Amino acid sequence: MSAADPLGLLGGGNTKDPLDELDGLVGQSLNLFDGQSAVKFPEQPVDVFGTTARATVGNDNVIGHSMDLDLLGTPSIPQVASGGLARSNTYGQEAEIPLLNDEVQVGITHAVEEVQAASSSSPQNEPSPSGYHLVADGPSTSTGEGGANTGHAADAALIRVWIREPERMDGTNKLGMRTTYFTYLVRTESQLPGLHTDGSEVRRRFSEFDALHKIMKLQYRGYIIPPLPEKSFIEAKIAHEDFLRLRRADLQAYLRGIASHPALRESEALKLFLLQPGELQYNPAWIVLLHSIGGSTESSEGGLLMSPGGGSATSKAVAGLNSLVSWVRHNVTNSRRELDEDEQQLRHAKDLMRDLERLLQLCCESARVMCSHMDSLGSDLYELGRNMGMLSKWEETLRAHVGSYTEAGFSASKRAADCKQLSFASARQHGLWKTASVKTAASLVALHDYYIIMPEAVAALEERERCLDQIHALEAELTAKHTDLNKTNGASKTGSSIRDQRAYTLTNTVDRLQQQLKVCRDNYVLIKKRNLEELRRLHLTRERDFHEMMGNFSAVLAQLMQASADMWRTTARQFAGEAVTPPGDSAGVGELQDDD
Amino acid sequence: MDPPYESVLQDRGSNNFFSPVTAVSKEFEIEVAEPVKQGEGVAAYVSYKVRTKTTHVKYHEPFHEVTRRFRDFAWLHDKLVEKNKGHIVPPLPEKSAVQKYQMATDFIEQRRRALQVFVNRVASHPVLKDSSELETFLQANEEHWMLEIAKWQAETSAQHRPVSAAAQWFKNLQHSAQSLVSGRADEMQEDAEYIKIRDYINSLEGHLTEAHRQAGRLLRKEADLGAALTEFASAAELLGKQDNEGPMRVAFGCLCTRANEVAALSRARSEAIAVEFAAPLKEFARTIKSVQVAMADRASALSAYSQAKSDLDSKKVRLAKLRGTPGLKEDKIAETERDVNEADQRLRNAKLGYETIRDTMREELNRFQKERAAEMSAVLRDFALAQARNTAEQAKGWGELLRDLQQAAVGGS
Repeated sequence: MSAADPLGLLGGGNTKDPLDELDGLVGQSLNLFDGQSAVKFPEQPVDVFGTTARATVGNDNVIGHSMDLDLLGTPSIPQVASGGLARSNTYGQEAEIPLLNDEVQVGITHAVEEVQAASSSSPQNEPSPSGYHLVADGPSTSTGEGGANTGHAADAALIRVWIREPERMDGTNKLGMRTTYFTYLVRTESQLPGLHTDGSEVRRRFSEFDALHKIMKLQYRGYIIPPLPEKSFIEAKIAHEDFLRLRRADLQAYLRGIASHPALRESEALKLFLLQPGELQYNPAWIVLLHSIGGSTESSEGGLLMSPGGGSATSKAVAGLNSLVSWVRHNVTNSRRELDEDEQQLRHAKDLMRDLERLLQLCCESARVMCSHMDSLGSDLYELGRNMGMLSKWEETLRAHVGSYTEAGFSASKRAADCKQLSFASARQHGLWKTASVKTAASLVALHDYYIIMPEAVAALEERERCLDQIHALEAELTAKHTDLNKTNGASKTGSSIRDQRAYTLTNTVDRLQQQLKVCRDNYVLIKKRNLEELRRLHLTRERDFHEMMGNFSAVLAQLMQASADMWRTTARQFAGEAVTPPGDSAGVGELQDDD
Repeated sequence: MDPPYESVLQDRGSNNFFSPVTAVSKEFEIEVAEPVKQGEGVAAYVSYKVRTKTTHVKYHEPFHEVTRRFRDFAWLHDKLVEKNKGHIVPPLPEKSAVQKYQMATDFIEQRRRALQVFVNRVASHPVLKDSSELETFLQANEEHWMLEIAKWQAETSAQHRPVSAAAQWFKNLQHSAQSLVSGRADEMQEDAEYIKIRDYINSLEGHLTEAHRQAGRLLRKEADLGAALTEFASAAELLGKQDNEGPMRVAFGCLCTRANEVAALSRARSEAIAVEFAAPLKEFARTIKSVQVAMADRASALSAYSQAKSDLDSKKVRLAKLRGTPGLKEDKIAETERDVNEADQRLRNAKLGYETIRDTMREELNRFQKERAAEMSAVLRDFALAQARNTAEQAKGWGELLRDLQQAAVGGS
């Protein structure tokens, strides 16, 4: 910008209007958005596995956003419909998907090309050596779904859940005391084969969610189960409005997480939970399920006998004891078991999960700080706008006092107009930044979603480790009992009836132990398979979700800056006294026409 | 044409200009350049070259160049204030002792610009541009100049100013007390329009300070945001590094790089804006003080006028009394008559003095307000432009990140 005369008023020069230069700059940025419709939030330009159906899911998120706009609270609240894990899930079907590879990008290429197509081609992958190339033995999903090319679109729309209308209820609890609790309306629409409904609604209370969760943890050891919000006695009683709103959102995220998990959503318990009207505690099928977690007495070791591999709360404690026992045994008796390569890698994966959790927390925190700065900037702009408005009024007062037709009055009215314009500009900028703060937080919500899922991933991996420990414990026990048996059999013939009895008991024990061991080993294989599946799935969804997240984030910020630039530019023109024609694509400028 | 905020000769101008308001022709173009540090230690100072290009009739040559230091500008300012009561003399930049001592480059540059603005404003003032003080300042050679300065320094030795100010204050006090006691109802009154404007100017300072403070706060917040963004970028990069050589690492890496770029850009811009717009705001505040000086002069003149009138009245009363007293000496009466005539003359002078200032100020205040209105528009416009540029660049940065991400998705790292 040349010093002399930006408006070209003095003639004699090629002075470029800074406003024109600016047009170029802003215009360039606009071009990046062409044909991507990146301006609307759910339709991100980097729509990695975009499909029309996903756009629907995206819209759902928007609804979620608009309902949960106070995102700026603590990062521990999953406000928006489930993030990463809730997306499509046909990955398990591809052969040999290693956890980390470059070839996934090839798949992504295909997907990007078919951005709005109804079906997306699944990423074609080849194994590449890195990190976790665990031999992925063929498709190992338990979804039982159709061919790999049904497309993520179809999956994503299969089952949708909403939670609404918390309602206060009064009742009596088991002890006969009057209590107050809340129920939530759970609405389901689903085309999942096992769970078909056009729209069923049931009312559930938190304890029923809790029971569902326990059942899930029991029946689906090895899978990553979304976290349930914590039980809270006090807050439930006080029934604070905020608490209700947050809890509703948490519960919704929880159910959506389950509903989009390829394995978990096949669960009978889920079906009952979603579809069975009336209170679940009176439903026989549910009661049966409850018993499995209810705490039937279990014998000490091998409390895993119940299929499909669950134990009870008691047996969990017992299993814990087992681990301790086996640890003692291992260290005291003989060689430490060498973990096989798979085991080692899985343990390494667990460490990585923990690292990831920590890193995600850092990210969440700094994201929160960033958004709160945006918000604060918005507030300051509001203050500025208000002060400018007051200044304008004050100038107006002067003008009124001295008369509009005096020179002083004329100057005053000009200054009043300027202040007023600045006031409006500030007010618009304020709105912009406030919105941007919310949108930025929303765009980064994937960080939070993964942050809360990490502990669950670690828990899933630990289930496998526990199982292995139990195996080891059982094996050691078995060895010991065998030895005893042999000793008994090989002992002298005196006291034979006692000896026979002892041998009989021992043999029974050995048989029993062998059965338990078999079950345990089967469980282990199952859990390990699930762990592997989940790790793969987690990795792929994480990649895709983070990619999308970054795209959203950039888009939001680019949009913000662009709108801001447009507003400032318009304001500048007004101060320069030019007539303003609102550019068609500028968001905030339209309001200008209502002013002066 | 009204002077631009920065001289036309200054070509670094990212600062502001505005459309011409009145039709005063531009007779001067003055450049203050080449600051050079002179001397050592406590006695060190900075000298500037003052180059003038003029078409003013009083000046023999169209081009002049002299060397001046801050003290010399102060001479010009103080002389003009002294000789031009009621006029709004453009304000001198701050006399900051501490900063001067440190002589930081930034400070010197800011001062240079402010001095340039000052002298150009003087040269564009409809009355002050014709002053001999300006002429001396712009063209006097070393010898002549040194004489002037020496004279001035002798005049402004410590006792001079404060005494006169105190004396005036006492007189005012006395006069107010008198009128209080005597209950005179015929105090000279200021005209209503002026009073409103006067009150306005006095409050203006407060509003201005507030606006300045808020603007500062805003810019600081923007800086904070930039810092937070950088933090976030680092955290994101760490997250990405978890993914050895994978696409996520690349993507997060891009995010980090771009975010850092944007943050750095934003910070640099915000700082630049702060510096750019601090200067005009400060100058505006100082100008208000100049206006207040003129207003104080007017008040003094009014007060003197009032006093002269009451003085004359009381003398007239005395004369009448004397005349009415039988058997008084003729020379007593004559003496009193002389007093009355003197008082009358004084009253006429005082009245003239007041009315001159009053009329001058009317012109000046109008000019001041018009100038201010235009300048404020220009400053705001430039501020808006600077912000627009700032945000547009950031938008570009984010757009580029989007492109990077798309490329990373499509083509591999």
